[in-house]
Amino acid sequence: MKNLKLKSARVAKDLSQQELAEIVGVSRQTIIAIEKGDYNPTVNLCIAICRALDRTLDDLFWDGER
Amino acid sequence: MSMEYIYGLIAGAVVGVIVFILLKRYTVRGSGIKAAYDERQELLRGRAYQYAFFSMCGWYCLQGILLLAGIHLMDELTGNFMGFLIGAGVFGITCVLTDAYFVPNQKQKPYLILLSIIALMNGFTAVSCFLDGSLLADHLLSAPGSISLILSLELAAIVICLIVHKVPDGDEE
Repeated sequence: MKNLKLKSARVAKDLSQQELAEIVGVSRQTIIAIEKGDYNPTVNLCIAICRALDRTLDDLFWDGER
Repeated sequence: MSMEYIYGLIAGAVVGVIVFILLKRYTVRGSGIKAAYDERQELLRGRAYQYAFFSMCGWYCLQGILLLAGIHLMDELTGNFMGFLIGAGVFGITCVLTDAYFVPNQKQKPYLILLSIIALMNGFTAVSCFLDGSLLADHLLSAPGSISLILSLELAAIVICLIVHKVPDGDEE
């Protein structure tokens, strides 16, 4: 399932996938895979992404509809 | 084993180590960036090792069955190297296809050029062995020409995968 919350948060912060990848220390393909829902990141990476985007884990990775 | 062979082996190993160090040192963009695979890449590389291991096992099983059946396609050295080369090829291609071959921020061009040069060098060796008749001895693929041929084909496959699979810079997906 696509992570549209992450994508919209990244765009709202005016960051490209490459820029976000460099901030959190992963490859751009990893950010692409997370946004496409092809890869489930570890909690450490989730926290790093949340810090980079000034969001909480709930904001970006909690699916309340389930 | 002749001294010339030993000197050649040592010279080859030294060149290999120097090239490896230079690539490691000068192919990562940005200073002070730790060259390490990220967590997704580590996971996928682990999976690629699995595929490589089972491919290698599959080759040795097939080789054993063929030998028991009395079918000889290549000499013993080539057969043994083939398992290693199949494993390495499966690992390399799987990593390329899953974007786990290069660490983040690594320049791909130097590696592409180096792999292409090694593939060409081995290709030339294989062709020269074919021309002087040593590639096939008693109708069997024979070392060292056969190993050069297989290595050349394998590296060419990896280079083609790297070129075809390259993710364009800056494009959002």
